[in-house]
Amino acid sequence: MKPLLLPQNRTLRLARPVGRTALLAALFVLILVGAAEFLARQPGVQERLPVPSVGSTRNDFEIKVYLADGILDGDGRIDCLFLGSSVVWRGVNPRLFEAAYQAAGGEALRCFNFALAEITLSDAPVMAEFLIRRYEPRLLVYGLSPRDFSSNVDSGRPTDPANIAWMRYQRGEPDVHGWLIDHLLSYRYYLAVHDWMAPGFQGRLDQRRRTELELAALDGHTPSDEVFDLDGDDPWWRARKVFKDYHTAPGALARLRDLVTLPDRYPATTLVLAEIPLHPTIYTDFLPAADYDAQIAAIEASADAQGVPFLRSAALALPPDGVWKDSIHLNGRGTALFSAWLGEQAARALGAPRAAARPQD
Amino acid sequence: MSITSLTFAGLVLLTLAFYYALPRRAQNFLLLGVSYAFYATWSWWYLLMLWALTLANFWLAQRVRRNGQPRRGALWAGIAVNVAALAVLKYEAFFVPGLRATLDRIGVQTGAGGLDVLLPVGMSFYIVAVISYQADVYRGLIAPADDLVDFAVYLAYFPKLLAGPIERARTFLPKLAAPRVVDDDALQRATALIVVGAVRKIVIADTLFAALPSGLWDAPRQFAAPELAGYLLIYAFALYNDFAGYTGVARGVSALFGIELAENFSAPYFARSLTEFWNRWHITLSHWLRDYIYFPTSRALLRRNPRRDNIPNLIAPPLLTMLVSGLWHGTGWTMLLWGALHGLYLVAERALALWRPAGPPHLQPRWRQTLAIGVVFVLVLLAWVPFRAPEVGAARDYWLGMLDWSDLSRPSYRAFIALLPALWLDWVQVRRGDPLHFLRWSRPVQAALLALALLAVFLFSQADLGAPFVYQGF
Repeated sequence: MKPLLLPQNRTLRLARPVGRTALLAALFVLILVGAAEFLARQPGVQERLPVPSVGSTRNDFEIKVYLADGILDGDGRIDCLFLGSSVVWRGVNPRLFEAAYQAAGGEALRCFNFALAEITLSDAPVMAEFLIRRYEPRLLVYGLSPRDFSSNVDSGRPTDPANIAWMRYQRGEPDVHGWLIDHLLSYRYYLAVHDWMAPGFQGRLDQRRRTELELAALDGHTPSDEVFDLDGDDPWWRARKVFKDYHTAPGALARLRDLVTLPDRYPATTLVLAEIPLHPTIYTDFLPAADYDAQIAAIEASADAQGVPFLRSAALALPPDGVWKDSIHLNGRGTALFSAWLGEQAARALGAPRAAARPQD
Repeated sequence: MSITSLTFAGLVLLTLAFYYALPRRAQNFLLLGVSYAFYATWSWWYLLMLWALTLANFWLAQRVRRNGQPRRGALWAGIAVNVAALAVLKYEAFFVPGLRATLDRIGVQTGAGGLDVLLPVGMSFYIVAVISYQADVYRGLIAPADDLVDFAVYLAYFPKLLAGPIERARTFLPKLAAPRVVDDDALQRATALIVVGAVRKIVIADTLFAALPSGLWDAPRQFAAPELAGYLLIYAFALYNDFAGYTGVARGVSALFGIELAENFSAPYFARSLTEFWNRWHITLSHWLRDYIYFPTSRALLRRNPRRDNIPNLIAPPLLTMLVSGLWHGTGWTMLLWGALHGLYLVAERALALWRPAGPPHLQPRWRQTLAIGVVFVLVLLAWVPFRAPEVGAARDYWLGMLDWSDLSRPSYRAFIALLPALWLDWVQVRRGDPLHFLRWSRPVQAALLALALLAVFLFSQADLGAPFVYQGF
């Protein structure tokens, strides 16, 4: 038979057109994917499936995306978002904030706590931009504390979820995996159960469900009824982990500047920096006073330069007993006090903008 | 660069684009260049070692047979060079601590890691290949290679470089000297081999490995007997599909270049005797061991006593062969135990055959064949314990743990689902005698299978289970 592609003396000698089976297979793939996508979009099917994944290893992030997307679909808007580490997740109750904000003369807001345990200032600009682009909030409150600047917790590089494929795609970078996650709901559901044969899958699935219920109850915030036991076994282990040999992480202040300049690109969103309180002993026994003062001065300078309000929690003067879950997290009682204070302060700060003008003004 | 990565696929496609347009001699140069580039992505040190051994073996083989006369001294020198290189790099864990202590005693500071050396990936495979080359030159089965490029390709050919199949020079070099043809059938079979290999590795093996809990091999006593038995079954299929998957991809890629590589697996868990198992599992290594360890040992013993019931000949060849196999796989006592166990299995099988001769397995009644498959499979399973266990004590604990049925906890049924496609692939091979029998099915069925396979490979590769090939580590 006469070769189709190349002369007889060559290595490749194909006598018939190639690729017909491959084309048919591609058609089958399209049919299968289409059917899976159709099923994945049926509410009756979705009810039986776990929260879809966006390719992160973090349950809290994936569930918060799912919940916030649900609010957007239901209420049509999310007015304000809280971002930061676990001190924000534990320390800000969106509903108490909304009430205090309105009581202090602000508008009625619909808020959601998008704080994620252990994220750092290296993640903050990426995460904040993602939230602004996806949810278009009028108000974004970034809660920070000396923990955010500690070289013990900030490696200087964005971590999961700030650097996952889907986030890269959200930022406009070409990423096939990110594209698939963004466009195929069936693929997101697959990613949520991809390790279904691995040991402990059912336990992880149950934990995901519990976290979903917990975070859904108070719009992303999880209160704690624990009370910090100063006489307990090594009560300061967490403080030592974060603040031992404390010094400011390289690049942390630069990342802060990246964060506070975001409103230049997204003027519809107002950014507020809020200092989240830590146990008073942290400030006296763990943090070098000079470093802390220099840090506050640097934050104030960055915020002032951009006209971003910076709310200092020192004025709240929380007591050392009864309001703490542990050395750096507030418990339910502390959260109630702080959230109400934060709502009121935010309303005042935004109702009477500071005199500092933006550089370009 | 893993051979199941997209980068590797890109490298193969790019190479093929030039390869098909070149004459035979230039094709060999291209294969050599690409093979070296591929190896260099692992380490330049590996490449230097490969160059050194290529030159040494090329030169030594010329001396093994000179003017048509074999030279025993040159053969042993060749074998010694290769075994020494492998011993130094593979078994350094045995002697480096002692050497370091000796040097320290005489005041020579070695520094942290100063004596540590790294075994080049794939070296165990190309060393045994080149030893067979030296031996075959000595026996006159092949003339010493006179083309350094072809000889270098024989050692470095990238589809087989990392983990075989272990090719014989007498079958591989003639393929390099002849024009190659990739026609419709070859292209179809090559593609099928690659797809089935990827399914075996990514969909089956990686999933099964991920189903094994941590601590299983280090502390087996914390698991119940049904769990240990179930996970051992999972491990057996994971290991098999990992290596068979690699071999499938390697053979498929090579077939795209018009060079057929030897078959390495043939439904080994359907073997009806231990001897048959070794003709179905890692076939190229088994046959290498048979031809260069087993037969010479047996011949030497039979020369002294040619009787069929020669007891040393009954025991020594299989035991020695399997101990060498254990040593080839690794340095620890666990690998020696694995080899010894298989050696004893073979001795027992030969003794039984002597006592009660039986015909070929395929002529036995069906029930007896099925029973034999079960017995062989259980024996092989038990031997995988020391193969994988970190130390002999852990292997012993694993075996003992499987005897204690006081706790009936069992692994999740989900983990066993990945066994189904593995069994189906082997079943097709056993029933039809051709692992790619489905290429004879109608086009829509083939297309549906291809669609499912591609989707599965894509989805499972996104799960990022990505364990490296086990046999690459040997």
